[in-house]
Amino acid sequence: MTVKALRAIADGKCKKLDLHYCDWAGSSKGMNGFIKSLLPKFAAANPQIEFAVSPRPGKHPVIVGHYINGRTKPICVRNLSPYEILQKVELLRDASGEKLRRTNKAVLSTKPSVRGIWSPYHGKGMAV
Amino acid sequence: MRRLQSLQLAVPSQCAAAPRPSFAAARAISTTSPARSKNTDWIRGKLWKGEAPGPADPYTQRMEPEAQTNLPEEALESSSSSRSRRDKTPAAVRESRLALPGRRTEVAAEKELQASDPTYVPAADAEGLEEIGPLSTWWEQPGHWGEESEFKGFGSAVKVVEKEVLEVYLRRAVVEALALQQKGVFAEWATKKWSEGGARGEMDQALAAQVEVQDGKATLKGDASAIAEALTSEAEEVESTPPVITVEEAREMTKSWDSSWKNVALDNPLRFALRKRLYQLTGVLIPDAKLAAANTAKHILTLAARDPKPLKLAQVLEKRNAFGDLANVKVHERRVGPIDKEVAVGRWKVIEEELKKRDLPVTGYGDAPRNKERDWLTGKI
Repeated sequence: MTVKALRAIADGKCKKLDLHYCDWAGSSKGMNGFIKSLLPKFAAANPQIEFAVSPRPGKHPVIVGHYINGRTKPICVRNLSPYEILQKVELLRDASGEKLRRTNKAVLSTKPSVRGIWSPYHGKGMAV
Repeated sequence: MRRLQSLQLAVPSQCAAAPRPSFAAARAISTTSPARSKNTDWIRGKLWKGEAPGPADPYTQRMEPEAQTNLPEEALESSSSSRSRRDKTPAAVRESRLALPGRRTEVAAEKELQASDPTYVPAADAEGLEEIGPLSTWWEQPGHWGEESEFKGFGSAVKVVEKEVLEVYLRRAVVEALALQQKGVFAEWATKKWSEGGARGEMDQALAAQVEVQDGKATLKGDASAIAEALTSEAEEVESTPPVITVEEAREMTKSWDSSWKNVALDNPLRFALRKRLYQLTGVLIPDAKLAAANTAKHILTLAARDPKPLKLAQVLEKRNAFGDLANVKVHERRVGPIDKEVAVGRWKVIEEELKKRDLPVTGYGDAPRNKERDWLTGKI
């Protein structure tokens, strides 16, 4: 359930970031350090984004971005250092939430067909 | 075809026609013919250099018949029945004060009784019979299993984890062991149970004594006889737990002592006594393999003390108040599961109500078995 009206007022397109860590596992070492040392500053600098920090015992650390188009973008940050994780978090913050696709045309249209989708119930009909 | 015919011809007809002997029969008889065994006698003679022991053909040996007894049949029967009816209750249980359920007994039939005792009148009702209840409720009945039958361990049930508190108890143990040594009753009391020392006064008395260590040799300055008396006097032990010391209290106590007392050298009896007393007071048992390497009281303290458990990340964040004034950050102590997500959007109470209305389990599978197909796929079964 995504509120489309937010698109006009929101600063960016990322509305929420889930940060999952594990207290025990070594692959979460960098993530735990990031949450302790870098996250307070980052969260203060980005008040438009909601941050949810929660443990996920026995699993690799993951950051999940939630976007206003209803899509999510998860990134596994196992064995990364806090500063590498900061780059990933910035990437998620700046992402639009759309699928990644190659832009090799100068113009990108959300409605590629001017005529719209064909429908059998409209028009004069066809004599067989 | 020609080949097949030649094969049939090659097989001796008598071999095909003769029925194969059963396996048992084959075992009973020897495959070595007697004529052949005669032929091998000379080589047996050469091998053994004279008369060869054992039968010529070891495969014809038979099992020896069972030992014959001259006992009458009744005696044989009674001995076998007594063996089967032998009491299989462990000796420790039999000798304990537990009230065990009665064993099954057999009484003579009514006819036999009437024959032996002409005054016997069979009972018409169950009046006056003792009610003992079924075996399944035996231990619930009063007097069969009470407080006295519960297991009480030697070690303290409450485990001490703080290093400072452990140090106080270790000092007490050292002082007590030295006091017993001074009184000359250490050898006698090393293996006995020392008084638990529940009273605070006893502990203070032991801790007030000064321990002076020179080259590992310790001397006790204080009221050794009173300490030893307190340890050994109480024959009838009153159940008590060691006095509780707070960490701050323990820290002050340890600061007031000179740390040289920890250098007291340990010999085997003293090492054993300290370990036993520390287990009794704190519930911390040092493993045998590690104890052997402990040469001073300091080593014992190192072995007994454990590092405190590290704080969880959520606890650290709360302690630091890292996100104190930030409204957009939420820190969860526990994993956020599917139910938590439903609770967050206010949908869970609706789901719970609907599940209850349909008589379905709110969490878990209820009586339904688990997803077996998943186990098949993941190779668990």
